[in-house]
Amino acid sequence: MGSLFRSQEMTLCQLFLQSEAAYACVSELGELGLVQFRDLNPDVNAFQRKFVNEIRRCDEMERILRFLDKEVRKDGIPILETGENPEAPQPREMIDLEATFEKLENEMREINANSEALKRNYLELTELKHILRKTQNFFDEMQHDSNPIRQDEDANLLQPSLSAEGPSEVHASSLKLGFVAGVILRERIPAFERMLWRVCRGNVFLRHTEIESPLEDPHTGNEVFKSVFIIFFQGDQLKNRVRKICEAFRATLYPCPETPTERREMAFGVMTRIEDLTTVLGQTQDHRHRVLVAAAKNINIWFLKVHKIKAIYHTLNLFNLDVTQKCLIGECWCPVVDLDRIRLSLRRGTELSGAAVPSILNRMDTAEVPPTYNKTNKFTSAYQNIVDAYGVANYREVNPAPFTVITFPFLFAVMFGDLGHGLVMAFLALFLVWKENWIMSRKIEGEIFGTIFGGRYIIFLMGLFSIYTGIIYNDVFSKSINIFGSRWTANRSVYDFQHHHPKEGDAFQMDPILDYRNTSGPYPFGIDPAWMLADNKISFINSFKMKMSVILGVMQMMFGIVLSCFNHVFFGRMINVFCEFIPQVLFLACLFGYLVVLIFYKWVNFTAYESGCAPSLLIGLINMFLFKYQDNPPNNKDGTPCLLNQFYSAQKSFQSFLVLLALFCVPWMLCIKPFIMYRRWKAAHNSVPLHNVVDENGHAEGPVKADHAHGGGHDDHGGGNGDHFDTGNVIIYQAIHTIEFCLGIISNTASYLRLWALSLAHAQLSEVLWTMVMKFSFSINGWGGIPLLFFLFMAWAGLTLAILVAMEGMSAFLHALRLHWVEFQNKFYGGQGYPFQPFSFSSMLDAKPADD
Amino acid sequence: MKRFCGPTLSTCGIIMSVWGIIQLAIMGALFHVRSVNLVEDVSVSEEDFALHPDLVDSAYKQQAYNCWVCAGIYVLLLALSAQQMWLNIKPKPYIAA
Repeated sequence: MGSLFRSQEMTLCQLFLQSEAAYACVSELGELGLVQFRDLNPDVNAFQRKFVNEIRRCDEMERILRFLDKEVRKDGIPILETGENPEAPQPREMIDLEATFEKLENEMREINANSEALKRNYLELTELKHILRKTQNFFDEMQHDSNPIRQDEDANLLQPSLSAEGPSEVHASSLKLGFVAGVILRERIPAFERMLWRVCRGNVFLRHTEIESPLEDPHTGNEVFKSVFIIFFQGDQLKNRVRKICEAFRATLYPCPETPTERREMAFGVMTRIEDLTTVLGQTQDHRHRVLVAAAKNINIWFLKVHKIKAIYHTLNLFNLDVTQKCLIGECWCPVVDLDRIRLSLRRGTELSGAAVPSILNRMDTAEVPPTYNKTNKFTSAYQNIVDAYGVANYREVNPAPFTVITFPFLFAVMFGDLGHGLVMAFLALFLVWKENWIMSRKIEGEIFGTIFGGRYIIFLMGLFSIYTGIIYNDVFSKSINIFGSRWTANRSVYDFQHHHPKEGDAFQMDPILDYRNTSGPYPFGIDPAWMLADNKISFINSFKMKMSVILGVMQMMFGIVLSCFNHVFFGRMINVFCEFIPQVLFLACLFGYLVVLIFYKWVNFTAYESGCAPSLLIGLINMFLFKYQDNPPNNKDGTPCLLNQFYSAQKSFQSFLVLLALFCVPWMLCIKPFIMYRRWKAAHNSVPLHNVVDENGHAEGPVKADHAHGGGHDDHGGGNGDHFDTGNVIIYQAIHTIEFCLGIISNTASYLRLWALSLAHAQLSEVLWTMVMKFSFSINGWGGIPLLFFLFMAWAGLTLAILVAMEGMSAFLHALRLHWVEFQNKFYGGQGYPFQPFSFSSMLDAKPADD
Repeated sequence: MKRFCGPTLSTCGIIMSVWGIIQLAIMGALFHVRSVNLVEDVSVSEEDFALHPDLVDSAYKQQAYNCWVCAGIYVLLLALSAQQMWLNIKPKPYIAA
């Protein structure tokens, strides 16, 4: 476990792999997952690379596997999840795999083709069966109806023919009617009917009836609903039209014998054939099932193997071929501390492949900036993700993540402070932490759940810290708890209270001098529970929380500035320590550090007797900037407001000194660094003889580039312009930074007041929820209150979870995030690096479900 | 008994009833000892508060009993949810095999 404080030291390495050993070595490196390969042939497109053939074969295998997977899922066969991680197979195993897959695929295709043909056959027979059965009904009805109709009307077109000879398709006589019977999709019936009527001008007679049971479409396997229809018509011309319309509507027509006896015989034949087909179909299904069950056992392992082979060949494509074609040359980034492990796995790979020449790993020097690699575990990775979401750290700069582990949940809890909500949150997260292996093996899908599960350790800590701040605020679901005994006592009678403050009416006011029992010290931990019942609770707590926000904010910003000093020293930029770090610390300390001191002074120094006449911090701060002080010693008797009083006697001169010192820091930050840089450049410029200009240029630019990221612009002037120092750019850059810092200190301090605002909002919201829901459930003074309490408690608990824990928690989380990203990190964090993405099978396979 | 709610609902029921049992039992105890902090929650008018202390006492008692009975109902709900949860979990291996 490396240090999280800075990212790992990286080095660029050159890798010589013997052709035969290359595959095994890369496979070992993939299992290790500690090297990031660089593409050495960026100009070569994907089709011209060396191992394009192998990759194509892998693609083909993947296609077959996906096909098998689809078939397995279609049949609802469970896929075995062993969690096994097979080694990448040897290249020669690939041929076996290919053969197996091909055989399986052919078998599956054959089975599918056969079963589709069988099913089509079965469908046709079933439809025919239904036609015979339904048309029989039509004919029977006709027979029954025909007699009375015939008596009524002799000229009837339909009935005579039916009753006399039965239906006939090929009758020549004009009185004889033909018919066709078939099956059509049920939803097409209305359109079909209308079309027939219009095209044949009402001269055909359509009967249809629904087939109750759904039929299976052999091609798609979906269930479809169909109807049987029969159409009677007269004459060949109409017959042609009817047939064409049937074709157009994709209706299937079946031959239907004219006489009842023939129909009955046909029905018998159809039934026997259906029975035969069913047995054959059953056997085919059994066979298919057996094949798929066998495949399902292995399919995940096959997927893994093929993925690994493909990844290895992808990586090998990034390599260069040696002139002798005997060895592959690759370049990779790897952490310096792990070089031995990498060498070891290279040796193992060479031995496995049986190659005679060992693989060689050489460190290279490079001017390129290495990637940023922080070694994290399951606890720290969530915090690292929070930091990386803002920007990946520059190579080897101070990483805020280890500090975030504590400050993030703490600032969250300052806004979320409630013992009850903290307990709920901590228990939920504790469950996730406790059952993490079980939950991970379940592989629950869903982005929201994934995010919460990934941050389970953060949420757990946030819950614990909220419990702590909840005790400090003495707030449990907007109620307070009296653990140590409140220090406020009502030892006077009601009449004394009223006598003490006659104008208050019947409101009882407690006097800190008379009613505060101070013998055993103040309430030992947190806010005295008596405040929860007080009318002026909010103004008391606001004052406390606002001061606390400023104190926490100034502390965190100061800490950020101190971290910037670590960066300056580490990168050897001593000029920044003197021209940026020191004036920054002075600036912050003189303005808001002093305010923090005054806050503590005011808390400690004023007793209950003089607290009514303490000077105001805010007005004092404003007057400090305006150099406005009362000339005469304050005499509050003649109406001078107490809040303008001074804290101590030398306040005017000391505060003026602080403001002037802070103001002096501004030009210090602004001017000295560009000036020193100019002097250095000039000295270097003069000390080198003219003929060495090109060489000197590199020297002169060195410090400039190291000092500010802006060196790139300077470089653009090229070698010939080496005697030109870009004063304008340097000064503008410095001015922007100075202004940003000075304004930032003021606005960021104000920004930390969100700690107070959110915490106030949270406390008020939970109080509102209690009064609106929970208090109402106690309103019935009898046993009738039980059902009310039962249901309202459920509603209250649900709303507490949804609004106070989930929504308020989210909002406090976002504000804590902002305080870290902006107010804390802008003091020291560059965030311009790029992440280390090692070639690793495990991370590749974890990412796999996303693109499936 | 038959299964009539799914895994999510039964989990929800378990969490809700555990919470309910703990909180209502504690609140019952607090009402029983006549906690000052709950004085605004008891439905007693201000005149009664000053003139009839016995009314306040009985109101506190009543709410304490209500809370405890409710906690008892939540115990029943917990048993029901746990039984449903058990039914939900149990057949899983057979389906998978």
